[in-house]
Amino acid sequence: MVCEEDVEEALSFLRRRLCAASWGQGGNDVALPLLPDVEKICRDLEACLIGTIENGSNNSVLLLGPRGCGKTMVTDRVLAQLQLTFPERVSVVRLHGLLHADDRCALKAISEQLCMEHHLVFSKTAAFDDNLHFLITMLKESALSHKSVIFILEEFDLFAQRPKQRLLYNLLDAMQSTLTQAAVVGLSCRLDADELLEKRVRSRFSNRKLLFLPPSAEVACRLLHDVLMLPTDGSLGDSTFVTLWNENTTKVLEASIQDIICHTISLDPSPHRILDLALRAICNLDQGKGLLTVADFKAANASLYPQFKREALQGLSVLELYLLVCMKRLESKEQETYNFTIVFEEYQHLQETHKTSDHYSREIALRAFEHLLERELVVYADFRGRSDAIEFRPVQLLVDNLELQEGLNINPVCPVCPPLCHCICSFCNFMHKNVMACDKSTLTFGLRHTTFYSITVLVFVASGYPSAVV
Amino acid sequence: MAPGMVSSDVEVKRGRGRPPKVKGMLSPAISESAPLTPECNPKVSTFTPPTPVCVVPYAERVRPRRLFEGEEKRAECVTPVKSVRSTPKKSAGGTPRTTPKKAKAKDRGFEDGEEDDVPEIRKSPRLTRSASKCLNETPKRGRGRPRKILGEEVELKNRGHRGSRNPTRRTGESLSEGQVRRCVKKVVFEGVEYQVGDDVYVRRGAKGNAENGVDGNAEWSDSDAEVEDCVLCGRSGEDVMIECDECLGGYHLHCLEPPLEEVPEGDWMCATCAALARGENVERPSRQKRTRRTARERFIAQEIWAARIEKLWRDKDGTMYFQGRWWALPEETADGRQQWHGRRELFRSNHADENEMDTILRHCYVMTPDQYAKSGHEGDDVFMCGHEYDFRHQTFKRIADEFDDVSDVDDSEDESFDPTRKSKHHDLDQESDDDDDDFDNEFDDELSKPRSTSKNKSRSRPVTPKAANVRKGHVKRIEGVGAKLIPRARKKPLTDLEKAKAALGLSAAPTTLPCRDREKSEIEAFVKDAVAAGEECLGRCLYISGVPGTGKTATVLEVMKGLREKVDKGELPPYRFVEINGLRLPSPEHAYTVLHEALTGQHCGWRRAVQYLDARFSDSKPLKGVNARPCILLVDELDLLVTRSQSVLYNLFDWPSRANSRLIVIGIANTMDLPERMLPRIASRLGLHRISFGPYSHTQLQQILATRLEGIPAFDKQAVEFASRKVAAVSGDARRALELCRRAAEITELRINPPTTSFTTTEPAPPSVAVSPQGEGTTTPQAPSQLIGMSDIEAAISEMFQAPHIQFMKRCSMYSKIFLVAMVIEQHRTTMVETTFEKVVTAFMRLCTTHKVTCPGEDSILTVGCKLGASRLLLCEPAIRHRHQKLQLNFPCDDVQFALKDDKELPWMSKYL
Repeated sequence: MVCEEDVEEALSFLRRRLCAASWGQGGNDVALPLLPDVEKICRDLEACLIGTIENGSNNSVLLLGPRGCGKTMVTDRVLAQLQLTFPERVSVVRLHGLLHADDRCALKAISEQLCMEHHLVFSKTAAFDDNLHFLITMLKESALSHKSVIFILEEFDLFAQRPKQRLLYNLLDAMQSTLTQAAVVGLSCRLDADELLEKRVRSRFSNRKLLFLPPSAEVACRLLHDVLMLPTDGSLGDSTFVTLWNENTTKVLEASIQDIICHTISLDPSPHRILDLALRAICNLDQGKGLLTVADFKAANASLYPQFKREALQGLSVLELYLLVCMKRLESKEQETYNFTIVFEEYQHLQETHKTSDHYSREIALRAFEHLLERELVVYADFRGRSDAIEFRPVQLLVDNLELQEGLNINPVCPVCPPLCHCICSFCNFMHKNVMACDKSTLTFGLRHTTFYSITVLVFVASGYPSAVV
Repeated sequence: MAPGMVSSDVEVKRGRGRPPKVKGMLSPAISESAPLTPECNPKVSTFTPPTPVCVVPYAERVRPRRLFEGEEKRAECVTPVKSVRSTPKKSAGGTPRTTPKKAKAKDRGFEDGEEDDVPEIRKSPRLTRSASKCLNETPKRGRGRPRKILGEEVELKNRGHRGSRNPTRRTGESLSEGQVRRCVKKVVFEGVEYQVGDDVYVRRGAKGNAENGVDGNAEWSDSDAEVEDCVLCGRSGEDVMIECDECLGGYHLHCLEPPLEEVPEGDWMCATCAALARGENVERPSRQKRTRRTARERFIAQEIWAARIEKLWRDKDGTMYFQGRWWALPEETADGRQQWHGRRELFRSNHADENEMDTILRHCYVMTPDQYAKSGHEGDDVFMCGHEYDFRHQTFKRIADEFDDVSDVDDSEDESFDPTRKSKHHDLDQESDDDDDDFDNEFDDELSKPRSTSKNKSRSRPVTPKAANVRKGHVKRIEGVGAKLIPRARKKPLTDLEKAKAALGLSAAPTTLPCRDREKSEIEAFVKDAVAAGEECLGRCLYISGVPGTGKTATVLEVMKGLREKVDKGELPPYRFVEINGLRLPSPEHAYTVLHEALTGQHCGWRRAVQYLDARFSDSKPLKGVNARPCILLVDELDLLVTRSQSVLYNLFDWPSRANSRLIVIGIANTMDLPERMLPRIASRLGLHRISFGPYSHTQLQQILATRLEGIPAFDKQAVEFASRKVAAVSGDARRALELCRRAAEITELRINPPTTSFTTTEPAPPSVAVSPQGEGTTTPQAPSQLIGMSDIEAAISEMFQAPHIQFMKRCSMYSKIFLVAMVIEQHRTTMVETTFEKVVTAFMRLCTTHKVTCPGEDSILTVGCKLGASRLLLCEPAIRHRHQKLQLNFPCDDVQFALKDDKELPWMSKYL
């Protein structure tokens, strides 16, 4: 019923809109709708910068918010708006805390950007104070011709973690003189970024902060809904398809809102994640049907929050599982540090007592152990380097009890039947004296009074039947 | 003897090992300057630098170069700063623009000021007594005196000049207002071709001016002797002449006794000079029958001058002007002519003037020493120049070294110091001052390149246009790059709120600083004492401490400004002021470079600088002249100059204690006990003179705000008091108080006029956005009050001072809240602040299952924890540690309790908190 071109067109429009946010492009037609809080911040920032441009008051402001909340996007939008309103009166210098690792480097970048903007010749070999002097001269010149310079410092907290905060001091100090007309906008994900400033720099910094608070669940759902709507003003062509799409999407969202969407939003309601979810849903769209379904959202959700360890455990071999279980047993015996040799002894002990068919030699076990190290399920506990052999360095297990249990459950190669595998883990838990979740408590209780030996016999007798599970 | 030789082939011997130079003119026959017409006369007057208001009387102007010695004495009280000054120097209206034009352009110390910012000529009492009587004449009289007939024309011309020059001087205005200068590279003037880079003789003085003390007729005679006359017989003729190296007198070979057959090799001195050199008392033969003197002689006798053409242009009324850089004779330097100065040696000065081309006599030739050594036959008007002389600092510099430094190396490396390049004068290896940076702005791009090529003429070197961010780089005016100047059209006057905002800005410096009178008078007394002590000035150091924002630097700068006015009036002897900021230096050792540059005007590496400074300050002889002035050194952010061995600080505080050093140091830092934390030897040199700037109390803050807001009734009185009390309770920082009030003003403005821009495309802008203050104040129901009230101040306080984490915790996601609660539970359980991820996960899962919330996987919980750690609500290790990751709350448990207690989403949480 739906024709392919319409679907294609709609999908490409939505993709452009969703990707434009992260790449910072996009014209007005694909501009994203903003959350009302974010819009208020836009307005505040704009008012602050207009104060600098029109009245010459030098301002400094910090934008604080968690990752993915849209700080860079807000800055870009506000700057674009200012360039429209005040043509040729704004020049922008962008610095990034990760790129410009040093104060010298940052000053050089400032000089380069200013030179490029005003078509001057730039020399790469100029010294620190030359660049500083040039910066002050350029600020003066810009102020005299009523042009404002706006400094955008991303990852502001990294600039504040430099040894002497020289760049920040010089920038903020230059803004204290009447000869400059400049603004400094700092973006950071740390909420305490302004406490990192030294007292001198802090005194010169006007403590303006614009906070990006996480949106509430309803607002986030609303954003998701708005972002997947196609424009009804006819710019997209076939209006019947557009209305069909919009209705269908609304229905689907309402259906899946309870478990899927709320789950995502409860974990991380930042706009970035919501857009990510929408994008994945669109990518999972079946082009034949042409409309979104609940399954798309399920798949999107799953891909958004993968469970790495579980997947890793799923793919392990038997020997590796054995090694993991041995490590768990060692831990439950209160032996916190162990290395491969000890683990292998435990493994051999296990093999001797239970005579399973999974008997492997030391070299193969070492190979399996190395594989575990590569998968980062096990890490070295010391930081001494690679001087010792692998076998003697202490290791730590990074897999939790529950994870291990689940992994054993879902592993297709695991030789023990599920209820017995339960026994291993709950036995470990019992020995660890840790109170686990309620549904296991009965089993633990039941096993508490059996002896150690009998349990192990019970478990590993069953392990002699590899075909039982397969 | 070779009679009948053309003058061009005449060979003469020069002394001192230089190859022979030809006597007589080789240069193409240049017609003398055009016969005088009446209209020339006003041009004559404009030959001297025209002035709008001539403070320096006429006689001074006639001989502007004489002024160099006196001029620079007067123009000493400047601040060669390397840092931006907080209060810009304002040039008084109608600043005398005489010869200060040359003084100001040269030194690098004027980086901060605009071109208007010239050193005001200060007439120190010493100078007026010692200077000639001409100084006492009034300016008006001086200007109008000799030319009463042409008085108006003179004025007109002067104004014309002013009009042509000032728009480019005045900052920020485009060229369209004034005259547009179109520069050319060569011009044919009165039949002679002049190019940029040519050297010419320039007339000086007026026709018929008896005060010049020269034979007026001789100056204007069209017939300058082209060929010198023989000393003995008084004729020129075409015979071979030989020139004495000492007196530059010409002798016919056949006139000598004994007559010589041919020109001897090597040096030759005439009999008189030889006798004088031997010590005999011989009189020079009188040169009667000499009515004409060659141009060269007159030049050496300082009757005419020489300059190198740097720019040529035509004025809008058609007259041709040129800008020429003067050549200085050794007699004009501070020490006068020394024995090693060649007879034909000149120095390039760092002063250039604009004059009309009518004043040019004819070409001369000034060469570098290499060229001079190789030249032979160019005629009489050949001179040699190997050094540049800085009139202000009375130093010489070798010109040959200026081309070696094209790109600066990083300051961390030392600049190469070649001891073999040291010449007899104190010169350092750096390039010369680029005083034409100011002038370059007026002209097109192409002209800047030939200017640098003209400097490089002697060496063929590829010329790159100088980068803008190099030292003395070429920073053009922004108009020069094509950007338009936006006019600031204000149609309506500023409202009260806007005035308040402008007055409260940190950069709006008030005229006086309130509440710091006691400290100010102390500092003033100290400086006055030290400066007036003169020779007894020994070991004066002052240490100022105080928390940031208490006005230390501002007070000191205000004191210095006040003292400078006193120096102008003559109540204090002049001094020098240098400012160093510890955070603006790349490394502590660069303090030496800055100080050296301020004292000598030359830039060099810090190792060389410290040697020079050490030598200078430990000199037992008292310094003369300019260097005798006391130097006040202000070191801001003193604690950043502390190195491991503390040598920089030691030097800085040790030098004042030496005899004849005349150095006074004022140090500013934040900590009160910084001297005690330094080495004891530095602490003892720092002395006990300390001034401590305490934080402001609330009454003082109120006073400061009131001073700023004088005449602007924008604030509620209670609001000001509230703001000052709040800030005084926290830090006592004046900047905080000002920013707080400014922010409150902005909030009020937003309250009254909400903004209307919409940033979304789908929704229209909301009709009015009520910026609700978070305090309890409410706006009155009838109309929003226009004054800034308590509610606005409260909103500003909550914005600026409140920590954001509580708001954040209230709004974070559900699982984040559960995570935080789990952490609180763990903390209560183990009574330890730090916990591992494993334990938190177990608590988390227990909570979820107890209250029937879907439990996410462990990896997701890890993500949640790490996001909280990125925002610094928690402190956590990197996520790869998985279950061994250590976590800790960044805030006390009570904060979490407060934030999450009444949460609507998860009401069951309160029983755990």
